[in-house]
Amino acid sequence: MKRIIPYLLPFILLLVHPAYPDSKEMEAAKEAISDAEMLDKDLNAKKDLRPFIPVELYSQSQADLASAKIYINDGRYAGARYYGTAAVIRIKTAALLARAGLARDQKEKIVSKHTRAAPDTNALIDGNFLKKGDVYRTTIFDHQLFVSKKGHIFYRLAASGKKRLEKVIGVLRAYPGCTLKIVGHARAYDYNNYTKRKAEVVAKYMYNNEISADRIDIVGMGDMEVTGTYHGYRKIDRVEFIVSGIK
Amino acid sequence: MNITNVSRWLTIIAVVSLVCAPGYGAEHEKKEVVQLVDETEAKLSTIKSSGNADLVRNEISSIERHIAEARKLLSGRDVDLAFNEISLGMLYFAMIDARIELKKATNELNETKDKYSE
Repeated sequence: MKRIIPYLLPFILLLVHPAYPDSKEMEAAKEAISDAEMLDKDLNAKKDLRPFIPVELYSQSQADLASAKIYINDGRYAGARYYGTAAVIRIKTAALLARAGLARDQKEKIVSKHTRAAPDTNALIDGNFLKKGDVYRTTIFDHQLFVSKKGHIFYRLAASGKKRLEKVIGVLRAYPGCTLKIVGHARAYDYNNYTKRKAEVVAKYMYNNEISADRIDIVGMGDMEVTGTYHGYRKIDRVEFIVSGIK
Repeated sequence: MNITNVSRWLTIIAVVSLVCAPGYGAEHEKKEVVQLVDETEAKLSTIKSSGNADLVRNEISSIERHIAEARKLLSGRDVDLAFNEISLGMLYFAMIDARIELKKATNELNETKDKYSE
């Protein structure tokens, strides 16, 4: 027995030498590297997330992954497992931050889309709308809106009238939450309910321009209301547009 | 050179390589690693008592696992491996911050959507 020990001892020592692969550590290292590669591939496959990946953190994860591969090729499995796991954690963190960045970007887009409506008070100015209480009002006279020949008005929209209506439509588009009341007025007797019918002609043009009927209310007021002119209050053939719901 | 001499030289080579192997030259001091483990534990207990503990439950248990592993390695005198373990545990703190950030951003997005009814 005493003679065998000197022969066995070197082999026992070489067996416990750390350079000998620890199969468990090797498997853990391989698994970590494979996980990191898979997560990296997934993250890069999501095109919407890519612009929001934090560069520094992502670069660190790539450096970790590269180190893990070098270590595993050198047979240094503990190091490979360490760098592989670090890469996994950093890629997961980068993915979370990218998702947060995307959410913030979406929020900004929604806010800017709606606050962009503010400069579109220009739309209100273009349409000569005036604020009265909670609503905005503008008036277009019949001769400005409809076809007229020799002082007689035909209730068909004139080209110039359509241009004016475009400005009203611009307001409805700028403020998707607002509603419009189209009110027809007459200077004299409301024959055959024509104040309502001319309001309907205007409304039809709006429907054709993709303004929902739910947002439009049509009223024929006859000759019940007067309007302010340079000559004082007068009954005039006109169509009034009342926009409400603009905050 | 007889066989006994060969075995003696093999033994010397094996012992020298064992002592000089990279794994056996500790790069970190035990005291330093113990301090890191303690700091990690303290930071973790703060997070556990915060309102976000439920949100980051997975990260908390990962950190706990790395702390336990680091302590086990320290008791076995594997100081460098313990350092690696605790370093991995500490990386999870960044993940916790990221998860909280994502939660905040998602909430803000949902509130904005509600506000503008999208």
